[in-house]
Amino acid sequence: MSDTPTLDIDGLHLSIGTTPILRDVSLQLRRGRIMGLVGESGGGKTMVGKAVLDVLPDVARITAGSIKFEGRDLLSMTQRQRRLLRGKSISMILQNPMSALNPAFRIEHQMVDVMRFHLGIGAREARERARDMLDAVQIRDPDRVLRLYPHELSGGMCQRVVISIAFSCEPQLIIADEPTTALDVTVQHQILKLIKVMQARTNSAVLFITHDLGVVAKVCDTIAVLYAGMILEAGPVEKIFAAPAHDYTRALMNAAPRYDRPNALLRSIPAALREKLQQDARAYDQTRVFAHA
Amino acid sequence: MTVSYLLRRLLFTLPTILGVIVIVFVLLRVVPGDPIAMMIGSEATPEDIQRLREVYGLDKSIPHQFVVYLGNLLTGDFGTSISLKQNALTLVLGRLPATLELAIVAMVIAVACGLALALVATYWRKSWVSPVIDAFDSIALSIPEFLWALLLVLAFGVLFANLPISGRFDPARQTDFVTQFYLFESLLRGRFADALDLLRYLLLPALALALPLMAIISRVLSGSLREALGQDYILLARVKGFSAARVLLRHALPNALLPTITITGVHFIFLVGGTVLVELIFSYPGIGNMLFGAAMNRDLPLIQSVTIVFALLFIGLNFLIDLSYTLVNPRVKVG
Repeated sequence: MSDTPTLDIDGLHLSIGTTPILRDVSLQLRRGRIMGLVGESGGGKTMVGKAVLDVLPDVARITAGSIKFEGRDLLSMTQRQRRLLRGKSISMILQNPMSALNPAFRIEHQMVDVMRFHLGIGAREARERARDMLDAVQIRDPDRVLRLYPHELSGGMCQRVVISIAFSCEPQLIIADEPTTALDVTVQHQILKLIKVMQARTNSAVLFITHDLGVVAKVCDTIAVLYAGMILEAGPVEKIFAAPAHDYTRALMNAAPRYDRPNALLRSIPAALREKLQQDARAYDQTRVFAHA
Repeated sequence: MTVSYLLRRLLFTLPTILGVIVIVFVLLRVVPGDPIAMMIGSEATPEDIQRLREVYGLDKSIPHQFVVYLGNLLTGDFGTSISLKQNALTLVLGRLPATLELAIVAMVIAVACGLALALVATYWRKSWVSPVIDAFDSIALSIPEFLWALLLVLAFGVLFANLPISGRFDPARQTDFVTQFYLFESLLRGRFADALDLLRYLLLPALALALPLMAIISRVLSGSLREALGQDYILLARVKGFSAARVLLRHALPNALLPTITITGVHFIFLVGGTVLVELIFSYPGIGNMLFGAAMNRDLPLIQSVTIVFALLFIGLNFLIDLSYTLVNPRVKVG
C-alpha cells in the first residue's frame, strides 16, 4: 500500500466575491480513515467538501492552494476529468436525505443510473447490485423499496438509500456533509453505525463534516477544527478530546452535551474568543493582501 | 385513478355546460339586433316580419323560448341556422375539424419551440443567449395573436409574398378527402404532397396563435428549471458525475414540467379562443370564422351552437389536462 494520502488539501484559499471563505486550509486523509471536519455553521466546512467535488457555487473561486486526490492534482484537471471522478472515485452523502433524492423517479432508477454510468454494466446487473446495496444498508424488503418513490420513504430510509448510492461504485473518498443532522436522534445513531460499516466494507476514506462533537467521537479517527475558514487544530480524536490545545476546541467541547458528564453546565462559546478569532482572520487576510501586492 | 373518479369529474361538468347554455341564450336575446331584420330586406312589411318571428319561435317570451330550446337540445336538435338555412350542429361539426387542426398545429409549434427556448436559455444561463431569449419572449408575449396574424400577413404575404395567407389549401388541387381533418387524413394516407400544401396554408395562422403561448411556455419552464437546478437532488445528480446536459434534461426537466403543463393547458384554451380572429384574418374555414359570420347576421341558433361546441371543447380539454398531471408527477394522487 502506497503512502500517498487519498485526499491531500494544501494551503487552500477560497473566496466568494472578495470575501475570503477558506484561509490556508490544509488537511490529509488516508485510505480507510474517517476524518471529522468540525465547526459552526458558516465556518466553511461544506465549501471544503464542495471544492473537492468541484460542485462549488458559481460565485466561489479557489484563489490559492492545491487539492490532490491519490496524488493527482484535481485543480489542474479539466472539468470533464473531474466530473468523471465524481460518483465513481469521489462521492458525497448529502445533509438532507428527503430532498436529496429526485421526487420524480423511483428508488431503483436513482440507484441504477449512477452504476450504469460509471461501471458500464447492464440494467439487470445494476438492479441486482442495487438490491444488494439496499440489503447492505439494512433495508428490509429491498425489492419493494426499489419500486417506491422517495416521498413514500421515511427520512432514515431515504438516508440509507443516499448512503447506498454514495457507496455503490466503491469510491476511494466520500464526503459526508452533516449526514445525520436532518434526522431524528433515534435514527442518527443507526445511520452513523451504518456509515462506519459501509466505510469498512469498501475501505474508503471519509471526510465527515459535522458540527456535532459527539458524532465525531463516535465515528472519526482524526479531527480537524475549522473556524472562520481556518483550521485551528487537527489530530487524532483521542488526543484532541483528551487535551484540546486550542481555546476554541475547548469552548466547543464545553458547549456540547456529554454522556459522561450529564450534569455539566453547557457553555456557549465566549464572545471574546469569537472576536479574537475573527480578528486573527482579518489580520491574516491583511498579510495576504500585502503578500500579493 | 378509478372509474368512479372519472365519472365524478364528468358529472361536475354538467352545471358548467348548463351555465354556458343559459348565459349565451339570455345574452343573445337581451343585446340589440334582430335576426329577422338582418335576414330580409328593408321593404318587408311588419306582417312579414311577424310571420317569420313566429316561424323561428322568436315571438314567445324569453323563458318560453328557453324551455323550448333546452328541450330541443336534449333531443339533439340544435336548431336551424337562420342565415344558412341548415342544421346548426351539422354546420358547426363540419367546420370544427379545421379549427382543431389549426389549434393542434399551433399547440405543437408552441410546445416544441417553447421547450427548446427554455432548455437553451437555461443551459446557457450564464452567457448572452439567455437575455436574448428573454427579450424575444417579451416581444412574442406582448403582441396578441390577432396582431401577430396581421404582422405575419404583412411580412410573408406582402413583403416576401412566399406563403399563402388565405384559405386552407390550394383550390386548384384535386381533393377527395373522406373526413374534414384534411391534414391528419393526408398524413395517415401517406399523401405527403397534400399534407405539405395544407401545412403551407396552416403555417402562418398557426404561428400567429403559437407565438404568445410559446413565449409563456418558455418563460414558465425557464423559471421552474432554474428553481429545480437549485435543489439538493440536482446536487446529487452532479455528484453522480452526470454531464450538465444530462442533469438538465433527465433530472431537472421532469420536476420542472408540472407548472408548465398547467399553464399550457390553460393557455391552450385561450389559444382555441384566439382562433376566432385569426381564422377571420386568414379566411380560414373553421368555426371561428363561422362564428363571426353568424354574429354579423344575428344568427341565434348558429351562435348558440358554436358557443356550446366551444364550451364542450374547453371542458373536455380541462379534463384532459387534469388527467395528465398524474401521468407526469407521481406525487399527485387522485381519489
